[in-house]
Amino acid sequence: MRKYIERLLDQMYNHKHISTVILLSFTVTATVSLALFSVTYYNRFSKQVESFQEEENINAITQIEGHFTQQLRGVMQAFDALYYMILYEKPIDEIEFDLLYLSMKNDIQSISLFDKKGVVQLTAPTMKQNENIDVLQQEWFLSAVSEVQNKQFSKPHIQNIFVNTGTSYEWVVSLSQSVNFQKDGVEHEGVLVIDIKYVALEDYLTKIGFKENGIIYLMDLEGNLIYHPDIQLIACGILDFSEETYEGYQKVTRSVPFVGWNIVGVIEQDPLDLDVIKDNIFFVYLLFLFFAVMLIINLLISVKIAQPIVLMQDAVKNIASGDFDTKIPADDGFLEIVNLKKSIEKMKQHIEKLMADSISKQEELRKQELDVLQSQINPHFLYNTLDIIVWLIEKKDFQNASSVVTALGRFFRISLSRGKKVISVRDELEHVQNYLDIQMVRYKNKFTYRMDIAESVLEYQTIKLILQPLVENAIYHAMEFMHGDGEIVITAKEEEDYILFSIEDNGMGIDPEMIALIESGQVVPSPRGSGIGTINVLSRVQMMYGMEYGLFFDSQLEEGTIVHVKIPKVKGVEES
Amino acid sequence: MSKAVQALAICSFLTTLILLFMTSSTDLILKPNIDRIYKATLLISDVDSELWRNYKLGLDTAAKEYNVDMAVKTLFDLREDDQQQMDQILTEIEFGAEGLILSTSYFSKMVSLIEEENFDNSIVFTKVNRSFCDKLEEKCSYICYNYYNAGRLLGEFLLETHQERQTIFIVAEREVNENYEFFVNALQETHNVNILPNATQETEGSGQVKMLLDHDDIVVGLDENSLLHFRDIDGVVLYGLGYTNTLIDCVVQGDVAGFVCFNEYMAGYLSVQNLVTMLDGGTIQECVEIPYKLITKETMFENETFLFPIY
Repeated sequence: MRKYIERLLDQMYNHKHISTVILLSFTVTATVSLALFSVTYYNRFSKQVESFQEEENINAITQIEGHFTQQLRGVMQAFDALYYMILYEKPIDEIEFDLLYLSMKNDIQSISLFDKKGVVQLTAPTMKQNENIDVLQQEWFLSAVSEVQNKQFSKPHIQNIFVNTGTSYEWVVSLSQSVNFQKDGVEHEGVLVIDIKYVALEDYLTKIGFKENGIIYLMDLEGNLIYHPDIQLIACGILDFSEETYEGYQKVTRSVPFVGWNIVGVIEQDPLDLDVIKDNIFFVYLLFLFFAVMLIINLLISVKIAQPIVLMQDAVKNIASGDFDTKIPADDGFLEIVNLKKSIEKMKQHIEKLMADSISKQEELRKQELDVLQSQINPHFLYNTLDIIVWLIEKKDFQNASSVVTALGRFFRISLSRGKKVISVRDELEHVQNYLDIQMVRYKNKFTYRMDIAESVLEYQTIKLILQPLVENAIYHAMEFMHGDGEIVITAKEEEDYILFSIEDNGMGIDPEMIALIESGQVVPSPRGSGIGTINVLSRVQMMYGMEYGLFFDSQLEEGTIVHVKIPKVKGVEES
Repeated sequence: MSKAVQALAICSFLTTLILLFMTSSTDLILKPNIDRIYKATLLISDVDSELWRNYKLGLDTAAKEYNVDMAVKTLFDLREDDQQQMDQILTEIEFGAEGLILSTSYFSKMVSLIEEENFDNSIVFTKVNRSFCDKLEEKCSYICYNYYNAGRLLGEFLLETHQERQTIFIVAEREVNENYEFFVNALQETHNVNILPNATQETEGSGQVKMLLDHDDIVVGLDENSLLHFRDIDGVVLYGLGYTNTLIDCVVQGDVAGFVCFNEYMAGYLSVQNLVTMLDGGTIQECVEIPYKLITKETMFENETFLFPIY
């Protein structure tokens, strides 16, 4: 498990942007926390609401039962008043029910006193007894007679003991009790009955009952339905009424004192009304909203944390690619970032110093190498020239001897150049001309030369002695193996970005493989010398001016060779 | 994650957020359940008759429960003119009745006329003879009375009570209509039947009818008026079809031996319930058979809720 989590975290974090990792971490943490909090809180809140609702329902039913009992108690008190009046105070000839009936006629259908034979003695309102109905068989009469001490409430029934006088057959609940009454000076046994209008009970229960999501009903102890909002539909069989009918509802039962009835409240526990649905959706909406706000805050935080690191990363990249002028950002911000910036700054300065030292040392080394290369100029040339001068003097050709001596003097003056390594193109070309003049004497005019020089190039600077070795090669490697007159053409011209010298001969030409070796900087063995003349020039040019400059060969076997020297256009300062 | 995916995710999230807000805090998506008010008309043959009292109680209970604005119109003057009945139906529809509850004495003709008109409105026929149900139009609902079985019930009771097969005099205020024919036919299966239409008219003929009756003769009245017309003849045993409080009084007092009746309250309630179900596009039981009972003095108060609905 641990390994799995570690692998998962590795997959999540490795090679990801730091801002992504921070955002992801914060968001996952916050979302999990939010979800846990929401679920826990919702469950707790739901249970509390449910519990509160259940308690409220119980209170409501208790309250309804209280009101209903109060209402019945009014009728029972009236009943008691009549009962004691009949029992103790007056003979029935002197008793009238009318006043009490009138005061309660909204709630009661009739008040009657029957003797034990079922003959009506008193009634309010005045009605004629229906002789076709046997009162003695009426449920309310039988229960009153069987339990003489108690008041009895009957089941709802149609009042049928009086002749229908336009009042139709009304549903009533009879409250009855055995009573002894005085008539004609004789005590009789009888039954006092008050018929309570069913519709009055119904109205009252409707008024105090639940308005929605619940109903109340009344049952007697045998489970007979006394009142139910849909009692007629249940009686018809249109609606079912059984134990299962209200399964899933909260059911609260309270007994109605003295009556033998139970008042039952059934309430929908989780009514799916629109408001509840909307509340739940609103809760989800709030979660989404919190999530959105959290995401935005996390995004800002992750950017705030990651941005200096990203900027620093860019700056370090620039430094790594050699741009030491790049400024490292994050002058303020997180302490670690500022410290890191300072460390990188120090590191940069250190690297700069190291690089400067390295460049300086390399520069020094390069100068030394140039010196070494320049010193590799063929010393045999001097001995040969001196031999020619001696030979001319012995031949008493003093004019030519004088010319050679003069040319040699100029040659060495430019070669030495008071120790300078860079001279003007004019001097370089003069140096070559002096050399050619000396060689013309030596080779007894076996070749001719021509110089085609653009005036504009003369004032540019060049490292010295780059043309002479090439001309020397042209004489030795080309002219010596030629039959007939050789010709050397030296040109110098100015291009857009550089100066191009060309030394052209009409000699034997150079093998392409040889050219490839020379251009790649490899020393080519030469039967006549050290073989390093061309390489020497190439190395010095590239060391001085860079790899884009150097020598380029254009040669055709048996036809001749052109060697191009490409150098930059440098003016003014002679020595760098 | 590409920018397109990011944009899609943000748009989806915002859309969800907006939808959740609109659903939870406005009425644009979840509309409050405003109870629909159904407009309907009950067309019956006699609006004032006590015979319709319990039917209308059931009708009113259901109308209140299902939010039906119910108009009650009588076809009394039109009972023998089908075309005029149809005109009245059309008038009710024109005045906005979405559904109709119809009771007609000449049901077969009325069904034919309605088939011809091809109404879109929901129609519930009430108090339809059960025997018609098999050939009825499918798009209507029928609250049926099984007059034949009711007749059988009375016939068998009479056989049992009066021991021997007697002649039964069937009396009616007018002609015996097609519903009652089935009732009479069932009685004919157990008894000799003598049908006496227009029995209440004080003609020479009706006087002779009374003279015909002997002690213990059984008279079955198809309506209250015709039955009560023979109440004062000593020894004649009277039975009725249907009931009113007057008839119940008569039973209590012993003037009438009993009556066969249907659960009128249930018929009224189910008429509206079926109509509303049809208006809501629900599935209904096309033919609903209403329970019936034979009520005598002895059984009257055992069947209180049948006769006297608690409303």
